[in-house]
Amino acid sequence: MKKAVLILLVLALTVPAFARGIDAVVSADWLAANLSKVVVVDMRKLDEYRAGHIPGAVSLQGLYVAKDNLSNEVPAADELAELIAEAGISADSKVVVVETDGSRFAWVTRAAWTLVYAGVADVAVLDGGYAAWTKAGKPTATGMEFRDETKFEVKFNPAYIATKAEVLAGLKKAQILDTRAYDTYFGLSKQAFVDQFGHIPGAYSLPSAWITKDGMVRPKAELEEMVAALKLSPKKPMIIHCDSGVLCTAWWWILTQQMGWTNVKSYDGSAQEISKEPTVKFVKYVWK
Amino acid sequence: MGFVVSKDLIARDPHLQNECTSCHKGNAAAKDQKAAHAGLIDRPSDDPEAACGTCHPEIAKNYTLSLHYTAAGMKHGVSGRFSEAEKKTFDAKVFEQSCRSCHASCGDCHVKSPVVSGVNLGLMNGHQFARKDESKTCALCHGGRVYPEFTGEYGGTPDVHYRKGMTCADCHPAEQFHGDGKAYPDRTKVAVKPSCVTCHPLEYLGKDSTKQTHETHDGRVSCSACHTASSYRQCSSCHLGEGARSSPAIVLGKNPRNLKELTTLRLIPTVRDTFQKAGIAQANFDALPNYWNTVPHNIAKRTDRTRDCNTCHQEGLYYLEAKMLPPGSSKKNLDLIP
Repeated sequence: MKKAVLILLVLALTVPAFARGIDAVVSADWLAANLSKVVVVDMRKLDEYRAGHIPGAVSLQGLYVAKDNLSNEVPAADELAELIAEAGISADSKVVVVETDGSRFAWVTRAAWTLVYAGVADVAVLDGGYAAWTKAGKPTATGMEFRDETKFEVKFNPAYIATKAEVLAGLKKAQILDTRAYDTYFGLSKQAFVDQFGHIPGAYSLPSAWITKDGMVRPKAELEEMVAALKLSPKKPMIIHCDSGVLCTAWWWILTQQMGWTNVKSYDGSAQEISKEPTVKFVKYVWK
Repeated sequence: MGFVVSKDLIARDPHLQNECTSCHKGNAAAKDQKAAHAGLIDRPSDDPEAACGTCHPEIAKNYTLSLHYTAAGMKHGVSGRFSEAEKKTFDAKVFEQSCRSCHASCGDCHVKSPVVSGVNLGLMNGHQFARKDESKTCALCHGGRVYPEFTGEYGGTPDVHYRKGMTCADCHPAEQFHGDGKAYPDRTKVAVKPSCVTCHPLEYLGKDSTKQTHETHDGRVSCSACHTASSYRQCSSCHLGEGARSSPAIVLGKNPRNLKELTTLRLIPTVRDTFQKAGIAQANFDALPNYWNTVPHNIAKRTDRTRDCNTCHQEGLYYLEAKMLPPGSSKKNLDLIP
């Protein structure tokens, strides 16, 4: 009996209280069977959406915007509230976010991260995107569709986002996870808008591109193995970044929404912002 | 790889139920390519009335007078800088060879993507005729700034109209593209053109406080001056001088066509030696400014200007200033500084 209690206690500590009304990643089959119970939001370009989309899906644009000299930022609260309300989403809606295909996985998680950050708890992404839906022979609709507007109020969850000040304060304490491509991390290449080659000293490398294979999300156990191999701990605070705040949401999504880690923040300013900080000196040609 | 035409396509597109030769000419009975292509017309709708006009006479006739076909806006945009002699030189040496080479045929919007700087994407969907397909047509000629600003592909906020499911033809309907049968010198003179207040009459806009704000600014400040969401591409970002880098900005100044109005301005890249190779010195270069009123296509309900009056009234954040003017630019620009 004591052993059972101990196991439960350990489980409670390592797998934090985590109740979702919808899986973090859903399949086309699941979505087809549950279409009437969810709000499907389509992030693709408008002409692609109009040409064909999942029946009932609404187009949702503008969940990430350029501002303050950063490429991908969260819109202002009132603007974001309006976008979410107009998509027919309430705080208690079950939402499935759809992108083009697996190559856009980080973009779909960026949108999904924005929704949960704004206070929508039950958000999923469609595995394989619209391509998986059509490949599975599911029905499609054309033109525009709208849902009744809700009265959504944004309640940002500060536990999901890291500010520059938090990153600077956490450089030595937090696990920094760099989700960019390997050669970017190593210092062979960089985006023009990032000021330094290489990576933040001590940052772990775990490219977001590895989450998917052939356009589909790898099995959860395989993703867990990758994380375990780096000896990352769910107990220690973690800050995930990339170049401009998109790729990092892919691993943020898997770690927090699929695996249940609770101490993980996504840094949407990412290397674009922190590489301009004179006190932060990137290192290159080293692994970690 | 699909065929240009197929039995299926022929069955569903009435245009293709005519012989190919009905538009493209040539000789369908010939046995070898050379003979078959004798007299072939590559782009039949370069002559709208002769090609499309056989079935759509009114549209084709009107279209030959529309700005997309005549490219008159390009001519009249610069002709004010020329002497009478220079205008003749411009017409002979520049306009037909350069400006008008951009004119859109019917097929450039309804069959294939238009040619931009000698490059095009070819047929949009085999030889199927499309009523409209803006991302493959409008987006190419207007892709340097307007379309990517509209969709947010430049990284800015997508235009509120795009977010609501609207694309180009929802504000610029076919009747406006095809023209009304009158030849206009430029788009500002066209009789029926898009206007914000057609759909958003001021008296019905927003809360009481918003109504008051709109009343106060009506006639003095354009809609876009406050409702442009984010920085937009200036032509000079790419075209002014060597090594120019893209540097989007919001620029507010007096409307050169109505100095009583504050509006969004865009810097047009005509410099003093633009037409030097054609022997045009632009005798009246300073008669026209380099900044022109523009409506950036990234409209938003809320911006830093609608949120905080101080953005303009205290900080004057986006106002055109003398120090911003490019060296050697038109003296007329000074008139536009608020």
